[in-house]
Amino acid sequence: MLALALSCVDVACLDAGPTPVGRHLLATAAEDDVEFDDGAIGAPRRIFVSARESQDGTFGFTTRRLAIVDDPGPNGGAATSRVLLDHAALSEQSCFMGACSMPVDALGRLYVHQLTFSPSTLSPGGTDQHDDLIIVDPATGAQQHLGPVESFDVSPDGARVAYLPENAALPPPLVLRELSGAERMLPDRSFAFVGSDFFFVGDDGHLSRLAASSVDVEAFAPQVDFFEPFATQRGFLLQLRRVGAGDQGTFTSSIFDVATLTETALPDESAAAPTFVPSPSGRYVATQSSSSFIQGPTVQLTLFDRDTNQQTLASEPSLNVSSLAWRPQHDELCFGMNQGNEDELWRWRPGGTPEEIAPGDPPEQPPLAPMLAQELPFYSEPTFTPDGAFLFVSDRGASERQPVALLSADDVTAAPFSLTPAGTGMSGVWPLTAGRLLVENWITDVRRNDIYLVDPAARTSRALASTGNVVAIGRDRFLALLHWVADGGSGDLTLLDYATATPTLIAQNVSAVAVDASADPNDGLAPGTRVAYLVHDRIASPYDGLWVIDLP
Amino acid sequence: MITLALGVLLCQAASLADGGVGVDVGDGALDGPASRDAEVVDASLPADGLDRSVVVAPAAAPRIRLEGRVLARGSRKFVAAATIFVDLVESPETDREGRFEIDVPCGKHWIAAQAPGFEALSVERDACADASPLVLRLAPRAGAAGYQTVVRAPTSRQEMQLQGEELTKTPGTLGDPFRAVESLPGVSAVAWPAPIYAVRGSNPGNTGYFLDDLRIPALFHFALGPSVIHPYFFQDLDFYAGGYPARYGRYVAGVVSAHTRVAPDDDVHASVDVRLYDAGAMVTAPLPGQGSVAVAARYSYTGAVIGYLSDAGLSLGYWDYQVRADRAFGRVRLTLLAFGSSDELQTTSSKLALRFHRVKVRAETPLAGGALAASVGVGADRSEAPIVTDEPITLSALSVLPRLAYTRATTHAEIEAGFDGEIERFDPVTTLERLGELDLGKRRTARLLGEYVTLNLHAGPRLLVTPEVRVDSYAVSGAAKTDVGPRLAARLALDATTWLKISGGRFTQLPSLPLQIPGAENFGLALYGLQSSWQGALAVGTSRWRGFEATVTGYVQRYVLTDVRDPVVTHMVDPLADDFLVARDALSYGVEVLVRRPSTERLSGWLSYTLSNNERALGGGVIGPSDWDQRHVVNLVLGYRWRRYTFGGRAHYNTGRPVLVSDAAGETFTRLPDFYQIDLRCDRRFIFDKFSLDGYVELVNATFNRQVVGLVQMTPDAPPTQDGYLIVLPSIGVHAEF
Repeated sequence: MLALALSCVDVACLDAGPTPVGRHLLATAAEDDVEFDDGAIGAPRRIFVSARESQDGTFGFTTRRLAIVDDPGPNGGAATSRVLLDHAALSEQSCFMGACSMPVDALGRLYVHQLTFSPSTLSPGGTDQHDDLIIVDPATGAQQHLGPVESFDVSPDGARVAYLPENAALPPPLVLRELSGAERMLPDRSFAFVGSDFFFVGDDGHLSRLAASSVDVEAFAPQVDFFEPFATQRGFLLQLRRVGAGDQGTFTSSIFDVATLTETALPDESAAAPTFVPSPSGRYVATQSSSSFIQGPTVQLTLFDRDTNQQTLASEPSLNVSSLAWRPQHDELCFGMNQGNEDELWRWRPGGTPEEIAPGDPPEQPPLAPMLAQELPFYSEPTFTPDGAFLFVSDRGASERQPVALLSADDVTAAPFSLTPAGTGMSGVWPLTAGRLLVENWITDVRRNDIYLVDPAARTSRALASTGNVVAIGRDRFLALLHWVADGGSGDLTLLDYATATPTLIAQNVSAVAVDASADPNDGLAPGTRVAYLVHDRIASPYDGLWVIDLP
Repeated sequence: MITLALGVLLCQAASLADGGVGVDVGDGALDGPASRDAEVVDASLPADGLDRSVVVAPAAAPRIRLEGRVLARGSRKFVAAATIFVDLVESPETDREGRFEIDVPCGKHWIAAQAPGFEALSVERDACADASPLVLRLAPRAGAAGYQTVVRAPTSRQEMQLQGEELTKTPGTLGDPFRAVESLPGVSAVAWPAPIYAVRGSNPGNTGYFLDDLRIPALFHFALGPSVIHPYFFQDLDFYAGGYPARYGRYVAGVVSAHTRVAPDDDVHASVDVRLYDAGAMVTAPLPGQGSVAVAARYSYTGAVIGYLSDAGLSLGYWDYQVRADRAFGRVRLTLLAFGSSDELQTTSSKLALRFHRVKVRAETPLAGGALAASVGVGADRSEAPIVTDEPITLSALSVLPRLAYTRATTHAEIEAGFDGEIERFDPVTTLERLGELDLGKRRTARLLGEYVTLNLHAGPRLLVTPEVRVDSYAVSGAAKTDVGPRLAARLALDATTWLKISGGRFTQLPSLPLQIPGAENFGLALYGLQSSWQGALAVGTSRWRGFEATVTGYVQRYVLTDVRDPVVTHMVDPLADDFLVARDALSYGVEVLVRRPSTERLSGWLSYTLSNNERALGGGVIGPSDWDQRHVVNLVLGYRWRRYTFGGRAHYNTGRPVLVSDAAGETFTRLPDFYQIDLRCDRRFIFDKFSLDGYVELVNATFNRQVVGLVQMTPDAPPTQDGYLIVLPSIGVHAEF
């Protein structure tokens, strides 16, 4: 009886798990994404949630229902959500898990594609997708339809939007729209916002500029067919391209300095090279070109010094350069080269000659494509640490989970420092202060990682957490979704500090996280930073829905 | 007794008058150095009628000593305590080796033997004319159980004991004693025919299986194979759905405790089993001087068959062995027990192997009015499996398993005190270097020690109270915990046929995988803490109806269990990750009904019904059903002996387990379809003079029902389709014993 009584004491006391920390804004499990976006200039940032939509007429395509969350604050009563737009194509604008934002203009209006579908008129049985660009004012819910739009770009200051309407007329005109709604039709040849200025190639072939807050077109270089902007420490450079007369396959490049609005011609070898990569400082430009394969795979590299207008040329029949990258914070060109079956890393310091520095290979992607904006991208190869001190090298053929190591860029004779313990592969790298890295290594799932704090200079690696993925990093701590369950698409939102790896559980079964802008520009997770997250338990839970916490 | 003997004589005389009934008795000789040529006795005697020519010799006739032996026909087993009659006069019983010696006057006399479970037999013999030893081979009584039931005194426990034919001939078990557990109350066979049993809402890994108090790391072979212990090695099997004795520990649910039988020391015996799937043999023999030894082994040829038929490079094989030897040295009785098992399943891309060995030496001696038993076992385990497709892991373990117990009985109480331990060294080998605090894939040492005291108090003629306490200490990978587990069991006799029983207490266990895997044990203490349970049960039972015993038990079990975190694992899992498991609160309560008719009856069997509710705290504010939750489980097991035949059947029904299905609103629990099956079995015994042959045919799932084990959705919004299989297990085999 005693035992029975003891058993009965606890009958009603099953521990169903911790309550999420923060305020429960919305108690709904329908939404599966959350993000912070700018409001109007000077206004606070706002929380948007979205949910997948799949209904008749979408022909199997998934669209999203976008809603704004009206949060009256901790003491202001219940939060509500308002649907702003159905069938939005948010995936085309917002990055994964809300790390990127929807395009917003200076009035706080959103620029969103809305998808409609219809049976294809050209391919019987197929489906045509129509992308209408909608301007949505979250404050009022008002919508302004700009019609089918191929692509658009909002200027960094939010004062203008440039878009290409879908139009039967060829080529479609480019529309530059002001906040006031005034629109200017421009030729669609080549255009880009460079800073807040708008550059384009005019009908007369001149590189032209509509400076911020200006309605006057300034014309610069003539006979330009195409341009591409590059950011350097000296400001923006534009690579101008002019197609060769009678031969659409050849062109000539030149450099246009946006700061000085001057154009610099390049020597023939550099001007004809299809690959054009300015150095971080902006002093040098590296180019790469290949000769005809009929004559053998001779690759020609050039270094052009903008200060001296001198070109250095490296040409070798055996060169089989795979990619070019400048060592960050250094004027030192690196490139991978394939020699037979061997991958090698080479470098070329201005004033010197190309030299092999190590066997190896830059890590492949995926899974090294960054999932979040703060992650170190591996789009350029070879890939360096942000301070340029180390190179990432890999043995691609080893396994699906390729081992990755760091190689000192200054002392290539030093032994590589492995970032991936045996059997693991690297899925993400987060640059921290003082040259440290937060490294994610996976075994079975790129969202279920062992997380290490790595100090390459000290050649130390310390385990911080496992079975999850990093969501955001700060100066002293990071947010991760640990115990990630692939089937549920959720994990335990946990705050961990680098020093002790002490975990602070915020909530279980979190499927999406958005981190607001921090008040401290040097610490993305400073105390008080707002974090919004969606709890989405696989089984309906009283905790499901949108929560917000101000980080302690 | 005289009346009975007279009846025997009358029957046999009548039989002779009818020309005799064939009771085969072949040539034989008494064993041992004192043996002489034995007379061949034709025991074909009339089954009824009266031979009135029986004449008692004159008292004045010279006397001679008649030596003889009583054996069981169909084997070479002695029949001890058989009553010998000489011309209706009862003589001393046979000794433990079946021998008897009688001084009889010269002249013809009727010598009769009678023993429970055997047909009586008498022969006429003039010992002066024929001085050879007399061998009487008693035929087992048709329709009687082929064994003697050991009647135990009522206990305060709520165990269910299986013995004899219940172990080897329960329909649906394919002759495996451990499989009979699935038909007992409190047990859910969660994915029949896989021998995975969840007891009272716990995980299958929360129930311990012991053989002579030695923990068995794996019960069954792969691929629906038999249990790893030869069925004829068993003496009996006790099943505790909860409230198991303090001599056992380190499991938070139930315990299945099987005991091996002492090999007969009279002669060499052997048995051979040939089945559709495998073949096995057991040999018992007396040891020189005294004592006995039993050796059993089994080998499966299904692997070879599958490998031959498969063009996918599939290879499957298993074997097992068992040895038991007993011998007394003065006041000390020594027992050696060794058993082991190996399974290997190999494809072109992966290999799964499980292997273990256990050896135990036990010594028992009288001490201070009681008995002291000490044993030490050693074990070696090795499991090999891929963690992920290209990363194999080998889990190896060596263990030392000491046990000491002192028991003493007084007029009103019995006390048992002792300890048992496991010191185990694990050496996993993997090519992965990974994080996480889970030490399952890491080198580690486990030191587990349990001390216990059990007191059986006879508080009057109606009340038996058994207070116990067990203190378990766990130390694994540098983490240590100690837990005190009080337990109480009591039996109150309401009248001569009705009783009440209560039991309960606290039980603890190291974190465990849902299923037991050799070498994948004793880990995770630092990460998850101990699994624990508070158990309570109240039972009322009666044997008011002749030949039947009925029990109704209500129970509540409150657990903290290590569960697989993801309730529906459809992606590649990583059991070495530190979040593969999670500690969860759990609650199980229900009612179990058992109506049983013992196998000593011509019609025997049991009806069991379990109504249970098993809940888990799934985290995130959700309380949901356990993965193993079968709300209703019904089993009807029947056996009927007719002549040399035994007909058996088993009907099983269970409601479906919960699974998750998704729809637009998320995921919700739904139940798998109910499942029922009927199993049929027929045994026929052929008895020859010195050996017997049992042939049997069994058809498991004779209803051809499909077992649904899950629901599959191609997309989250797609309607679920059933995932399952139809398995019908036919079996035919013979068991020869001599």
